[in-house]
Amino acid sequence: MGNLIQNIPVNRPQQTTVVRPASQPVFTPNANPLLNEIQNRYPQDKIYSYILAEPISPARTTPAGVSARQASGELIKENIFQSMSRTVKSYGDYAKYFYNAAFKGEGKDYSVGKINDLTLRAGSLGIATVLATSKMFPFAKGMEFVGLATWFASMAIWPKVLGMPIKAIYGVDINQKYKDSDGRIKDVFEDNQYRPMDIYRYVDKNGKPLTKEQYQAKYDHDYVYLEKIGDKLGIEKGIKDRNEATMNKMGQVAVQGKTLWMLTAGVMTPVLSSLAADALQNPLKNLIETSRYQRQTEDLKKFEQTIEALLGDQNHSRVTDIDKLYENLGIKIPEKTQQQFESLITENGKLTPEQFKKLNKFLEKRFYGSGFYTSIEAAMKKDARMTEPFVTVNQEFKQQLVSIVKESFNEVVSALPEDKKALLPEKIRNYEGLKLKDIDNLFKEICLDGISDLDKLQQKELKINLSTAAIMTVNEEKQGNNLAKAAVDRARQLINTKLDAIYESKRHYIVSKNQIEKIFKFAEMNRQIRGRLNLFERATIKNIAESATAISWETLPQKYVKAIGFTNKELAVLATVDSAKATRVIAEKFENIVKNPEKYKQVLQAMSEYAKGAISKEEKAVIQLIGTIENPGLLFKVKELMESSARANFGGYFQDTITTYYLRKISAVQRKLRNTIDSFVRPIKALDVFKNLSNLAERIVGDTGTFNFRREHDWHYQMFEKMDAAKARAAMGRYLKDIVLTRNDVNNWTTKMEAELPLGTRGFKNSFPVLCSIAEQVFGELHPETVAIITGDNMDKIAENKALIRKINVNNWIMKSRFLRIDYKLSERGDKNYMRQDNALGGFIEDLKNRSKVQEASRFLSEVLEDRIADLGENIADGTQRFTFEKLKNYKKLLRDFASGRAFEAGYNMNGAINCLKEASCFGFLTANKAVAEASGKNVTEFLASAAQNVRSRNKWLKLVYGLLTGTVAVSAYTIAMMGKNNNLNKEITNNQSSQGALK
Amino acid sequence: MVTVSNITNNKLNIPVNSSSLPSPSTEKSYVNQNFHAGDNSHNVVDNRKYKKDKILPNTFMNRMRINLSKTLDIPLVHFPRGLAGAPDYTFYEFLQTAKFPYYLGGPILAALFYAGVKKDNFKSARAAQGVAKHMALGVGLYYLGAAFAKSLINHTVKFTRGIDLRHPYAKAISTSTSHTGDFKKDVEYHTLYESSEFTRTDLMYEHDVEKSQIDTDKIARKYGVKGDVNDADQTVKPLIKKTIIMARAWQYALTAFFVTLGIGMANQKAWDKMSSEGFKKTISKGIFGRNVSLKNRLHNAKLVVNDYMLKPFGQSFKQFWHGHSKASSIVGKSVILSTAAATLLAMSLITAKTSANSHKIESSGANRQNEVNK
Repeated sequence: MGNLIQNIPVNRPQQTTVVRPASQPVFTPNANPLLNEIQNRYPQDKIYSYILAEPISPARTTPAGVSARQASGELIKENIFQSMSRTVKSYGDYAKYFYNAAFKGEGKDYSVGKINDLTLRAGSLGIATVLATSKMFPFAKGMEFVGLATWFASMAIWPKVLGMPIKAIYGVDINQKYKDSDGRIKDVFEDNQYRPMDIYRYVDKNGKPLTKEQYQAKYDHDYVYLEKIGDKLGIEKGIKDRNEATMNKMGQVAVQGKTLWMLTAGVMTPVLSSLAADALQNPLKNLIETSRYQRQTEDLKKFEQTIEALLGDQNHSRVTDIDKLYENLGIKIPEKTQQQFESLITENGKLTPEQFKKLNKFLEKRFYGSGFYTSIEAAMKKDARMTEPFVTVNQEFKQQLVSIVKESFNEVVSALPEDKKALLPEKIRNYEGLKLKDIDNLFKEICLDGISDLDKLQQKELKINLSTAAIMTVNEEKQGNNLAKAAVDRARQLINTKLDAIYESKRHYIVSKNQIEKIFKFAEMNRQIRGRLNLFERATIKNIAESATAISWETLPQKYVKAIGFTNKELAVLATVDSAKATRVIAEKFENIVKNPEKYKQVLQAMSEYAKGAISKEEKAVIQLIGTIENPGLLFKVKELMESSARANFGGYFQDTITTYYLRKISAVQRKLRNTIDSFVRPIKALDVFKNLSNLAERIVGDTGTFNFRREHDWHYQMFEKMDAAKARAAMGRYLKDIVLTRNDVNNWTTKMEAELPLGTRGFKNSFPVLCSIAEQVFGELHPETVAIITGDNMDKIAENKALIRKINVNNWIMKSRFLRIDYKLSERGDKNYMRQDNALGGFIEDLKNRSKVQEASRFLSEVLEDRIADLGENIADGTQRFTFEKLKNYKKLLRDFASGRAFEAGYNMNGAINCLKEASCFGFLTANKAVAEASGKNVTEFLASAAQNVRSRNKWLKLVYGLLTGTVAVSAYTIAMMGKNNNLNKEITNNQSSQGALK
Repeated sequence: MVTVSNITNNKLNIPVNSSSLPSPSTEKSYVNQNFHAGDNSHNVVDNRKYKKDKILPNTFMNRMRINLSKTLDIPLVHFPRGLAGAPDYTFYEFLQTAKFPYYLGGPILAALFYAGVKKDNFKSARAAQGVAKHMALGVGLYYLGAAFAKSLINHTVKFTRGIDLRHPYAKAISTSTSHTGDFKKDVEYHTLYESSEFTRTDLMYEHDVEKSQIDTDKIARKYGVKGDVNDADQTVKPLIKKTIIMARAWQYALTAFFVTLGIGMANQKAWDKMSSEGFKKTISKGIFGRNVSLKNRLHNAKLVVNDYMLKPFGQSFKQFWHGHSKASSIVGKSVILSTAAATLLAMSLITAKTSANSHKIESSGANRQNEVNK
């Protein structure tokens, strides 16, 4: 372009020079006649001389030292990584653009436009931060940023994806970038009205920009790349101005491509982002879960080691001294809390009722929900002075007593009208009152002398006696004088009221600073330990978002649903609220599965795998907290440590609440695991029941002969009076199918039974043994066939599969005993202790004698005992339960003897031990606790229904995502296919020169 | 830079280094679509509304009308033209179509998220409703925040400098260049100040339209140019340029702050209290329902504004400030404070830096009296 400019002739504007006349205007004849004419006509202008513009050489149009720039635009060929790193780098430039524009007002449309790119991303980052902090859990927080990243990634990727087929078909890259002469990166096809064609000049056939020299060494003419694109676009070969035709066609395709991009980006960006975020979800979840679990486990282990070290000597000052414990455990009271606490107590321990209330409020708030406030209250009660208000006796107080006595009488008298006053005896009218000495005497009389603080009783004592003493002095005067009597009575009331007022103003609590500090510190220590344990629980077994448990609860039940193979229609029924319908669907499905042995095996094995996964994760965490029988875990150690410390510092009263607290915690952890196991193994057991339905029904109802005999002679079987054996068995079969899939709740069982019986028969009433035998079957051990399938033949897995089978059986056993422990009205008919009668553990206990079975049996028994102990621990305050609790703990030790083989050594009283354990199996179940009895995991219907809901919501999402995806892809494919074609806006672009010869 | 037009007009497409033509021409030749040797436009009746670029009255109604027409043009004109690949398709049209994904993306993302939420049981359906409400609010407040940031700067500039960055003009588009005559687009609505390099200050001098006339002297006074100057327009032009650049930069920057604020507020519990059902009913039955007295209609309208919008809006602001956890309270406070700080900074910078007072005025002869030295 420089050359072009220099070829244009330019006239330099001449400076008009003013020629000042010397004496008079001088007419200078000019070569220009027009000028002469003007100058003649307007003589006043003659002072100016006009000089024609003088042609100058082209070179002088440009300032010296500067030459016109050569156009130096360049096509950019880069891969996706290069383009990404270029984008990232460019944000630095954009920040500079922003600074210059926003603070100095300098910039160009281009640079200001780029600021938008920067602030758009900054804003989105801000949004992600805001949303992330509004989330409670790390995964949800993380997902906000993943969402942000995928959003921008899909925003960047979609035009590239769209560009690929367009480039492949038409050779036009709608995303083609170039560097302009100023080094700014721009889109070639950004503006259809501006096409930088010359950047294609020195580009090789593959679209790689070359220097002029390189290019000319390779090709004999320019624009080979453009020619290649022209071929792809189907531009007729050999026509005149073909490259321009190509460029224009490229423009058409590019405009179509870019418009298609804008048409689809609104849908594709969220769709791709949603898909990508979904794909990233599981890796992120696992990553967070694993790292969180590991970190928590390590922390907890360290904590456990610290506690273990402290427990070495329980009477050592490092256990008994609370301050030292703080130091050793590495915990601290937050400074703010410490200050707040200190501001609430006083050096001498005196607190006004107001202050006392504040202190209590503070403690209550601080330990809210932790259960330690109860401990504090108990500890404070030990010292009566901390719970009731006192009044200090001093000279001032006594003086006040003197004055209120006199005042009271004076007030009564002065309130009377004059004529009535005269009627009063002199002594009352001019009441002298009590002297200080009299008060001292009074104190001596009522044995309060020398007491500095009066408690509530003493205050009452003083109140009664003060008014009496005051009245005594005028007692004789009021004889026979009704008015005097009334006046004295009134005075007594007044004295009492006034004394109350004094009490009220003087009342204070005495909270020994030392003592309350100790209590507070101890409670605070436990509070912090609780927080520490909670952290671990939240990461593992607590069913709150993102804990290990919650994650397996979210994913594994969905896998059950898939393994069982529900159709979409069935899922819809399952997911609705109607649990009766859901149960029917599941029952049908299970029936079909058990009919097909291959399918049965497949489903059973799949479910077992998932159950193992869910249980083992939680079990690991539980073991860390509670430990095993041989090796008690952290919670037991903490409990022991805190008990010793409490005992040493406060005696029994604090220890009790601490013990209860930790035992409750232990049983809660244990129960959590139990519920998980129950939920995940119940479908397995249910399938097992379906498989052996007829057997089970027959065992309950009896074979035809037994049934008939029972119906006639055993009043417990009256409920079947209107049925024959076959019908009864069929009804029982239906019944079992129903209850095994729904809640094990005795009310549910009763109603369901009544539904199966003919009208007019009384359900379970009078039939407790039938109920028991149903429970016996429903919660019975797995059928050997099922056991064989679950055990499988993979040698590596046999051990863990066997462990699972044991767990299922233990779980069933516990559920059965819980169920039958229900304080149910049927059982009140003398059969309250059903388990004692039947001695259900008997078989296992007998197995202990058998060396080959001892390991399995002792494990089974100890797991059952463990569970029972945990249940009892919760109600340790109950004397009977505590007794049982301690006893069961001892039996656990006995079991250890069997497991270790000590019981088989000579001299060991094996029979004695066995008898003890038999007793234990009865002991454990003497008491019934309704809450415990009803505690169970999710039933099969609930479990599968909620999984179905998850599956369905995911399906809905998938449907929408893939619907939008296919729709958009179809529109894109169609549009791409139609690109570059002639249409109502693009006509045939070549003309025959012969016919249009006049054109040029 | 060489463009198509001078490639075709000059002989640049003939390779410099070769003597032979790259594509030896036969009897066929390419017809440049933009070249109309036999231009017969004088034969065609030109029924365009605007024959030349024209400044338009800067009234609210007018702007709304233009916005509506621009919005309708996106599906009716720009997309069809773009998909067909019109040769005279402009960058303006591309930018217009770019608004489509901007407004579609948010709702679709929200819809996708909502599709994945459990809705089968009562509890989760309730929760899903809450999620949906917050998302809809989030999308709404996002766009509201963006619009607010823009409007804030527009008003600051209008108030302090007397120029309205939204001042529309109609750009007459030549239809004679369209070689097929189909899908005619004869006008584009732009604003005078949309480009800092090609600011249409030339249109300011149009004196035939009363309302749209721009009083450059008044603007100059607003800019703080002292005294009576005879070429105030030339004095303020560089200042206007500076204003445009600063205003646009801050509009983008403030958008980032206000959308963050909007999303933060949409995510607060304050909105949970208001039921969307009640909101709909109050509007459909209370305001537009039958047999409602005017007094009640007004009362209900007040309710809708106060109870369903202003109150939760204010409360959500407070809740965002306080946060529900330590982290969220820190983030909430810092978003609010930095938004306020950025707004103040933007306003003060624009006011201070674009003022003629802060620019040295070079006095070097009568004609250059008010020339601004940047």
